[in-house]
Amino acid sequence: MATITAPTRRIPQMADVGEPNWLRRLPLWLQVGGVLVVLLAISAYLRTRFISGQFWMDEAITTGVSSHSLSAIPGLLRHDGNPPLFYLLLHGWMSVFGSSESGTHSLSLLFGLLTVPVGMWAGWSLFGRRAGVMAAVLFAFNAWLTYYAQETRMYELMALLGIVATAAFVHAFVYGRRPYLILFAAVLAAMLYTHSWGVFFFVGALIALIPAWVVSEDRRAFVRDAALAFVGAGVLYLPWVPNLIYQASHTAAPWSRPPRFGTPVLISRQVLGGDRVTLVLFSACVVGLWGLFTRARRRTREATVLWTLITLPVATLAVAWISSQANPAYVPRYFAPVVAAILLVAAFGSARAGILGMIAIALSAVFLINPGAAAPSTKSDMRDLSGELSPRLHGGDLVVVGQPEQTPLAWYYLRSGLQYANTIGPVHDPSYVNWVDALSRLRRADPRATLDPLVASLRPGQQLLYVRPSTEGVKNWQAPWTELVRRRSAQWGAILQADVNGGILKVVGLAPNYYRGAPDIADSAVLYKKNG
Amino acid sequence: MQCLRAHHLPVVEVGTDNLQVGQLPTGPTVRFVPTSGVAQAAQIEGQAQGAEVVGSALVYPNQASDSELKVIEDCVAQGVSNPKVTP
Repeated sequence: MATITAPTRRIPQMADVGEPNWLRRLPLWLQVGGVLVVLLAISAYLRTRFISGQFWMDEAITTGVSSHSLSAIPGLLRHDGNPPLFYLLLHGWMSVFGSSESGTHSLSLLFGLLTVPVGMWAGWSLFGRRAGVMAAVLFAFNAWLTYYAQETRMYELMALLGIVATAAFVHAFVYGRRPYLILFAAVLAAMLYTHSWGVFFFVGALIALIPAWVVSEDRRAFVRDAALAFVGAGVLYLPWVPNLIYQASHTAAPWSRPPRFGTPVLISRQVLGGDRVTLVLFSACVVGLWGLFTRARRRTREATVLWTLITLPVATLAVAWISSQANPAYVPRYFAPVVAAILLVAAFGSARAGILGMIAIALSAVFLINPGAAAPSTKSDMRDLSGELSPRLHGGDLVVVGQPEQTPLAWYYLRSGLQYANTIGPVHDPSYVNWVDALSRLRRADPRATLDPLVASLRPGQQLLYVRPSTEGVKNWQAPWTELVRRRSAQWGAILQADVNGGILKVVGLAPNYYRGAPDIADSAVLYKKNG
Repeated sequence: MQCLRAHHLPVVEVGTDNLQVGQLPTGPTVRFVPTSGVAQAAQIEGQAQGAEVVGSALVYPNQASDSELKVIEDCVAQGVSNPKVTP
């Protein structure tokens, strides 16, 4: 009598295609070099569409801080809230390439392009050649990297370091390759010195040790290695810790609100570049990685790598999310440390998904090939304002900025020799922002008591340029800081209008006369002249 | 209006598109315009220097306190974000 057994449930083997024979006959260095050259060329094209685009305020602050001497930069950053590595690198970069938009963007571009070969190395060394090539494609086209390759901020450097740290972490703790411990510790320290989210990555990496520890054959040695790496990074970071503590207690981001539950959407749209990209890569990952979740393979090395690469970004984001409930600092541009793990999982899954994985990688590249898809459009309109009004300003004229953190942006674009103030009070060095207790200082700054002496200090014929933010987007102006900035801007505007009505000032100019929009924060300006 | 009254603010309608909270010249005024673009244009053209642009509303703080303005701004933001009228 025949017995009937239930069929084993599994995803059928995917069809696959190999590389063509003519390609296989080429030496490996030529294959790799050719792929990299092509990908770097495409990536360079995508990541330079906005290379000379105008700054928004964060970029002007970064450039302003970096324009000081190397010895002064750490002290300035104590008031700003960031660690110093990128600023120090930018200082050196600016001494060669200048402080123009394209000059400073090109440093981020360099880091963005380096993610392509480094991503290839990470994918190849962890999962093999196919995954390496797929990782290189993903890093070359990635929307998040394309956006921030054209921004004078530390995010691209952070993402690059994140690739090295993630790969070294897996090599060291999952594959037990001890030389990578040193690399991991050094790069982790560099991340801590690059952006404050390095701390969240540090904690996330500690949590991501768990999957590797569970399957470790020598747990005592594993713990010893982990202690060496993390303590080593911590010791390297120790000199900056007093500044971190001071910044955390005095310079939190009052412009931000606690995050809710939109992280998956943010990752899909901001990090991966859209839901279409997410869908195809997720499909490939399901097909390619499903087998690693089965009981038979759950404790294999490959499954451990997968769990580690999932835990690392999830834990990092979870720690950042929890921390941001009390001290909000949760925006997609800060996701730099987790970009690597997300793209490496996508490459891993796609490489195991046969022809479906190849189609997924190809489609994701096609979806992102439009240079306008991820390139930032006009980030602010301060350069336009300056173009219209700078020729009408004279040395000694006073620039008053309604949003204090936009003062460096005005300083960057307006002509030199001007005096500066913002709604907190006079600003003696407009090249950076003093965030120390900024919210309470803005609350205490009575508009009339602060503005009247400034107007009184002007001689007849001197001018006052009042620059204030456009606040029509309701949701962007609901944090305690931004709400107060919006209010103070109006109160200062009302006082200036009263001075016009009272004959103290007269309006002599307005800008922008042509407003082309700005997705970050736009400004408008009124130029007043003091009557005789 | 409901939100402002729920916070016990003395608000009255002035015409079809203005609200007055308390008495002028100290009490804040809210002026509604057709779109946020109109409000933004008023600011860019220097015609609303004393106003906060909150969506499609212009909020004139006048001499009100920060705590009172916070309530008004939040109510207005709620109104311009969710324009459904409850019966």
